[in-house]
Amino acid sequence: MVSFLSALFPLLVPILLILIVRPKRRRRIRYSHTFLAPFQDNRLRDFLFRTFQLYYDVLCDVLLAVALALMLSRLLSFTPAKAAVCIDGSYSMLRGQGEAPLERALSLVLDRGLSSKSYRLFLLSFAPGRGRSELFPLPAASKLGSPSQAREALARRFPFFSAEPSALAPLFRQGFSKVIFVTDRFYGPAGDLEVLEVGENRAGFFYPLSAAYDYAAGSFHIRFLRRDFQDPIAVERFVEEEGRYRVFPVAEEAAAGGSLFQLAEEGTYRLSARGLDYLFVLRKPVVRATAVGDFSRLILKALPQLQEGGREVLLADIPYGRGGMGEARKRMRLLEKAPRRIISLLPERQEEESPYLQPLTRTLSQPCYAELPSRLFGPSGEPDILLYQSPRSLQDAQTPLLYLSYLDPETPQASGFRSLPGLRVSRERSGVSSFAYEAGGRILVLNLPPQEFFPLAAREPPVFPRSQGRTWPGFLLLLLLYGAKTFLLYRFHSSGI
Amino acid sequence: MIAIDPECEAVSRLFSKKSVRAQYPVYVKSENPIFKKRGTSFNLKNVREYQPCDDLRQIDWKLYGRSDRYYIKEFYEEENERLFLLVDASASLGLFDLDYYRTFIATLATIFLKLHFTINLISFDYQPLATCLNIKEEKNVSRLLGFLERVRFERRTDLVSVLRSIDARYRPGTVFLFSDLFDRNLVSGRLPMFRRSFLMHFFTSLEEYRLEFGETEVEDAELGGRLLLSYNPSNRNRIRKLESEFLQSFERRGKGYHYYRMTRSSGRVPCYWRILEDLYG
Repeated sequence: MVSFLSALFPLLVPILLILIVRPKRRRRIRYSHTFLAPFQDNRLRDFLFRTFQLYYDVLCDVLLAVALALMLSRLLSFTPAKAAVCIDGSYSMLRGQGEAPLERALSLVLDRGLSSKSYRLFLLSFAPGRGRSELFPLPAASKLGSPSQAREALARRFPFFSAEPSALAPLFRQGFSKVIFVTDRFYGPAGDLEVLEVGENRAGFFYPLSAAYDYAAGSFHIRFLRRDFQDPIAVERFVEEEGRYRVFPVAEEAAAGGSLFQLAEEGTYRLSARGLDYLFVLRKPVVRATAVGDFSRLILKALPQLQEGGREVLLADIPYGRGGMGEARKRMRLLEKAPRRIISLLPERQEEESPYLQPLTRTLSQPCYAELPSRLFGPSGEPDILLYQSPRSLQDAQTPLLYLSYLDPETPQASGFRSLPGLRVSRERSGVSSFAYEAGGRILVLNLPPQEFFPLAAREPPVFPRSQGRTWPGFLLLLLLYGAKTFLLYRFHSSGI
Repeated sequence: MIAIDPECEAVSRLFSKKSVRAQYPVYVKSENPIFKKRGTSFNLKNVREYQPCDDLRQIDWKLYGRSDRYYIKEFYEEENERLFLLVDASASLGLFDLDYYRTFIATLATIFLKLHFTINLISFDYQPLATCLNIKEEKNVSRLLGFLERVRFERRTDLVSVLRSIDARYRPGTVFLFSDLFDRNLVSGRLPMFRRSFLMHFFTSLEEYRLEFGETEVEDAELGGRLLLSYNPSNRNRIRKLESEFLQSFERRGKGYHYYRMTRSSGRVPCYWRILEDLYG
């Protein structure tokens, strides 16, 4: 009630101001009331009609203000009585032997009466065409048949790859009274979501841990983990000329924490075994770079993936301190054309024999991020990364790691893409439980996310928009009131009648 | 300073030349032969022998020829009818153009004087206020103008009681009523009528204000009341209808009843002529 009044008051203020100003703007004339006596009739009906003619606009404004205040304070809500029930359409819902979590979810929906007319059933599933999780409306669970029949029908129709709970947000925006998410297991707090867990099926699996180029061995290492999974894993390589995968003969090796495949050649590979497969696009991480400054040249020589002579990445030192500003500006001009830029900020320039002496009190000989005054870079000269660096701490093993982490930033995609122009699923490259896409001349792959196999650490609860309810009834109500006001305005003020 | 229409002289001169002059509304002041005054009319009062004090011009020479004695013919006295001009001095007359109003009355009264009528002016609001009686001859126009200049338009009107009061006191035969007829107590059908009534209605229509649609406050100068009116097309039409009914209620025809509606844009001279024709007709 308080929120209603607090919403109503500011809406009524302009109406009150109009009422105050109105008598001052009223036209006044002197004329006899002799034959205007009917306009002074004190009968209730006449009085009300006359008053309505005078104050219909104020009445409409007050009604509009009250309607808006009721809607803003949610006392008047057009939220449908229906609740949304969404079944998880991820890989883990079909995993394992015997009754799948999906069947248990469908049974739960039927048992709890979640398929009645008060509920609407959805499936949160991966949309391969769009490369992200989406909601798919389902008929009532009772129309899907038995849980096992429904499972088969749904498994045929949907990919059961990954399901991102944040994709449930549209249900909140559509104004369902509540959103129930039926899943095998939900990690972390659910927020506004009502979660029904049906329990997961445990089954053996293998999962890739890393795929990286080993400079020492001169080959790619794909490390993976086996858990209760003894089946042989086939490695296939995509042959461009044939447009399909061919078995690539390579032996599985034991490695610390798991197994390992060593692959010498670049290409698109698929690791597959018993209904599971993972895709890898292996490319040597060679980056052509230009270094400006002594420190950056050292880094260029130290990192094997950097090759001198290109302008893909520009590494530069900027001495920032006494007398260094002019040189810094010169180097900044050089940086402007490079697509990626790494800047090492050298705070103080010292004598030739000790070119870069860094005060330990500032950095404790650790590399760290620092802020550079914006006047040095100008509005468009922001660097990609800025390292506040001490040359003397080059012996510190962490320094090159920082560069590495930036130079090879691409992380495996799992949940899906936000938006990529020209994204097209590549059917011939995709596997059973993995998807390959062509976008912008590159091949991108989506593998099953780790949460399909591993319990995730506690994460932030998903944030959903507050349910706004249906907007059209409110819109219709306001439209009706405005329409009534306009009609009355036309009726009482237009000479056309 | 009240102006008299310059056409006044021409109207009176032209009208006096008309043949209808023979139908002058004359009357003998007393109906009782004993109290009838001797005068210059053509109605014979008596014939008597000449006395030394008599005017020689009154000797009837034809009778002298037949009887060889001097006789004198005496006639009754006659005068033109006395007209009562009742001037509404209520506050609502302020809606009309007061100069127009005063000029109209002054000019019409002057024409009457030029045509040898005797006029009596009475101003009133809810009661008779001031009188200016028995104005005869053109030389007394200044009395007439002075009276009209002294009229103040301030209070409410009550036509019915005023007309009854005047009727009881003066028994007027011919009455010229100058008014806007804005009187809420007035029911036109019950307006006290005289032998001959000339109703000059100085009317101001609400439409002359050229109101825009919207909220309008109408203040009644007489009653002091305020009326909040939503001036919109439907109310405008309603007001037009009420106004029309109000005006039609005075336009009824009857013996001795004459109604003239005057607006700010009405020409005065044609109205003078019509009034005179009705007066003589």
